[in-house]
Amino acid sequence: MGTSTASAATRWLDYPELMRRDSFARSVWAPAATALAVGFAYYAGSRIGLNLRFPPATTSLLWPPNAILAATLLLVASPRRWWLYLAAALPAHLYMLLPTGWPLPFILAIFLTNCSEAVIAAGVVRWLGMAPIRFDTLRRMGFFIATVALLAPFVSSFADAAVVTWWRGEPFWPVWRNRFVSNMLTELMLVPACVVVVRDALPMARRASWRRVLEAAVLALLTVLLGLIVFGSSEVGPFASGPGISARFLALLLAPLLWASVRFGPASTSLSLLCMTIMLLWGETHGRGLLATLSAEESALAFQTVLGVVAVPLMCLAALMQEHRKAEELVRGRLAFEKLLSRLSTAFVPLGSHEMEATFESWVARIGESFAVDRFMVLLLRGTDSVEIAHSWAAPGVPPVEKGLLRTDYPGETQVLLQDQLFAIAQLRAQGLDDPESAWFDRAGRSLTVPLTAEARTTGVVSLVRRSDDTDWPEELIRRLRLVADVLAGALARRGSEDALRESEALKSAILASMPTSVAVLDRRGGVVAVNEEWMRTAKGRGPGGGYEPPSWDLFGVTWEADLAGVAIGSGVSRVLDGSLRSFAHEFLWKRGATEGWLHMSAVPLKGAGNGGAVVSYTDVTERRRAEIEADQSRQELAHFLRVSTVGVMTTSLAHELNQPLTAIMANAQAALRLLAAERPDLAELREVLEDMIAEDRRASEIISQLREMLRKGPVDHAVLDVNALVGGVARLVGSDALIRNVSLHVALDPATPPMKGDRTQVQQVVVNLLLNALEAAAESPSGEHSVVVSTGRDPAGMVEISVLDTGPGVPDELAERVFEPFFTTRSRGIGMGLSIARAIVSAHGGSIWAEKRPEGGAAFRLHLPSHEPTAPV
Amino acid sequence: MGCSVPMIPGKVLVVDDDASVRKSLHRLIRAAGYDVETLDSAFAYLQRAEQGRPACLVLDIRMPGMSGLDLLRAVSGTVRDLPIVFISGHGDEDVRAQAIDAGAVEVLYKPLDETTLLAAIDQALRLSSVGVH
Repeated sequence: MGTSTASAATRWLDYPELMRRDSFARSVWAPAATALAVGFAYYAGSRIGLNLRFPPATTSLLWPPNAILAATLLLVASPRRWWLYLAAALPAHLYMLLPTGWPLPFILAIFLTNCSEAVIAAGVVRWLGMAPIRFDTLRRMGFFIATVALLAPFVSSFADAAVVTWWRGEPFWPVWRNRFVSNMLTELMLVPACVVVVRDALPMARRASWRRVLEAAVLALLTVLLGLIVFGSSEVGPFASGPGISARFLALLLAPLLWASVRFGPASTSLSLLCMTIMLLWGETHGRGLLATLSAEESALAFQTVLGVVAVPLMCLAALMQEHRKAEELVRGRLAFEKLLSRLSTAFVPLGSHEMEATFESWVARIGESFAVDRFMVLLLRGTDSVEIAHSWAAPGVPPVEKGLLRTDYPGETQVLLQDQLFAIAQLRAQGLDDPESAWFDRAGRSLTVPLTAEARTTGVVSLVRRSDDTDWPEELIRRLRLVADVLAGALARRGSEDALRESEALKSAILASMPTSVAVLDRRGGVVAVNEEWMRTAKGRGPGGGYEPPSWDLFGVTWEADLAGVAIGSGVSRVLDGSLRSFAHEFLWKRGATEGWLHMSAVPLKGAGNGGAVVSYTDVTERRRAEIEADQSRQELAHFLRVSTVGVMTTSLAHELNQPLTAIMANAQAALRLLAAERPDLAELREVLEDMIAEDRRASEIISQLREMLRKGPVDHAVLDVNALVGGVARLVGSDALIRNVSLHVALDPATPPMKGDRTQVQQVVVNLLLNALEAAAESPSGEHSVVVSTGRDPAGMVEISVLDTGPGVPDELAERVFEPFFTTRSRGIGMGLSIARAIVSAHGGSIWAEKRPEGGAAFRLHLPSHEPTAPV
Repeated sequence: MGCSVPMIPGKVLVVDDDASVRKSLHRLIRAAGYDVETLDSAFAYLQRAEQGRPACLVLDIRMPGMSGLDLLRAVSGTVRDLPIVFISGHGDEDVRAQAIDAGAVEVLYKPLDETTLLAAIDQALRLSSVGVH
């Protein structure tokens, strides 16, 4: 993973639980294993280096251990472990040099100077911010050559030469020069090879095609073959060496070196150089090859010169070619990505939300392949603490992750990855999840995740997952993942919106279809834009696209009510559409042959629609109206029954009232006969007698008419009523009842009482009921005062007011309303329906009736009824 | 039949709350030759001055305020005590029994038969003339 610095565009999550890894494993055993490997490598390098000397000189032509230490420190991310790896090399150093017989202090001093070269090299690289060291650009190669290959050996060779001069007495500058050149060349050839092999060999090998492997094998074979020819041939035979022939063959060595530089990069170049160097030195030490005729010093000088002249340009060439290849690769990669992104951006545009699923799946696979990772996942946030794996792709050979809500039984590695996702999501929530610049990786460094944000709302994340953690996540890749996330987020947001809209429309349609009434939605011009099934059924297909009109007459038949209804409904709907009415409702009767029914029509403005409109509905209320009519009939029959019952109660009183006029008629008739028997009958008096008889007959007729009125059973008949006459007549009717009960009945009729419009029978029934109740109550008066007062008048609002006051026990406050309930009675006789019927009659006349407790004792029942006063003529 | 002259003198006082009944009875009893006066309530009788003391009362039983029976009880044992013929429009047997027990000459039911009424008035006047009732 390295310690790549976050760019300004990327906001990395910063929380201590997630750690960034070094290139080497973090486990406790990894440093130990690494130290052990360093020790062995130092030993091997020392062995090789000692064999690459031209005795009796102590300086080797190439001294690998220093380069190995330098490569180790350059690969290790943290300087805190440098001491471990340097210390690991000491046993090997001692093991190698102690048998030489050199003094121990000298050996230790040499070790220290060796270490100083590695420390200087790695320290300068880190200090100048060029860690981790790379060789993939000319600039980086130049930096490496200047610092690691030149500066470090340059400085450390001073100490080295000083030590050798001190202990061995060898001349300083030659020692310094030899050590400098030797270490320089070793650093140049060995460090790139070590670093690239350790860091990149496995990923490169995994990515390499078979053609590449074959080419590398051929190159290696050619290198060895030519090396053997040039450096290992004897003086005889077809490959006999000699100044002329060897020079020509020497030129051939350039071929594999150039091939390695151009095709395989600095690491291969340095390995090729190393291989040739080893073969050259082996040939020289066995008296073969190019330098066999030269002395040791001449050979060393020639060797180092040639190597230096050849190695630097070749390494630079290799770096340049690598840079070129990377640039080409980058451009190719960018073009390919732009093409991918362009296609991805347009892939979802023509699709409806229900068609996107398959497209998402195929694009998730293509994106995963494009990024060359092991898994690519799209995770959607569900609620506050759940994550759904909406789409997932896995490379061939990689175990797939099943879609669905995050499960606790996923395989360990996946579970860890997904738990880290949840953890990171929780952290992001705390830090602001809607930041599209966020990016994070899991604690093992194997996943890279960015949010899916569209319209300032984060709905999920996308993750790239790899099974190994030995390469960085480059900024370019993070940028590309963000671009992909933007497109996917937009498509997901659109899918979500369309799904929500479709569900909403489906719900509305279901609601409309489920309604038992006929419903139509009109636009502001009255055009039908939507209807439910019931409307289509009753309107016989007059659905959307047509104009609104009341239900067709052939459905409902032609009746005068339906005709009027059409006019009224059309006008009402028009007024609702133009806003002059807040709502409109109308009930009407329709008939078709022997069938009839009632319809309730309503029209209300369409709320929420910016352009107006209305919702019209028709409901069949036939059952309700029939029930109302039946209830009304039942009420009328009950009222009639009560009236008949009342007449029965009033029999004695009625008989007495009839007796009075009959008595007067009889007495007048008998008196008339006596007057006629006189010698000179008084005609004037006789006339008066006859007139009195007629008046009494009328009086009796009136009583009988009232009786007949009470016993009438028929439809309600509204007429203008003289309230005072009606109340006075009722008072006379019940007057005898008052006498029988020994109750004083007082009648106070206000001449200003206005007339009212109502059914005489019903209003009379109410007053009779109230008076009889009052007489009964007053007869039971505990105070000894037995009186009832009935009065009429006009209330301040101009309504007719009738009051009946008694001196009875009164009505308790808690029963003031209950007395009007059906079947409620405080008496031992009666069914308790009188006041209930009275209230129903009063309510039907648009009035009100209530009971009060009188402060002086007794009850007061009051009626308010709408008056009917003729309007003044204009 | 005809306007006869009664054999027993004395004023008949009719007390009834119904104006038509009073008027018609006044006319009938006067046509029968009696001296008759009418009042509209028991209270009016009690407040009536002693002049022209009647010989008998034709008294309606049920009247607002004080009934005929109440009046009978009120004047029982006083100088106002007179033979009384009760008339009633209710036909209440209990009331009839009470009236007879209280000393009424007769209880007649409306509508009144002329012969029965005048016979009862004669009897009341006879009782009044001998000072017995």
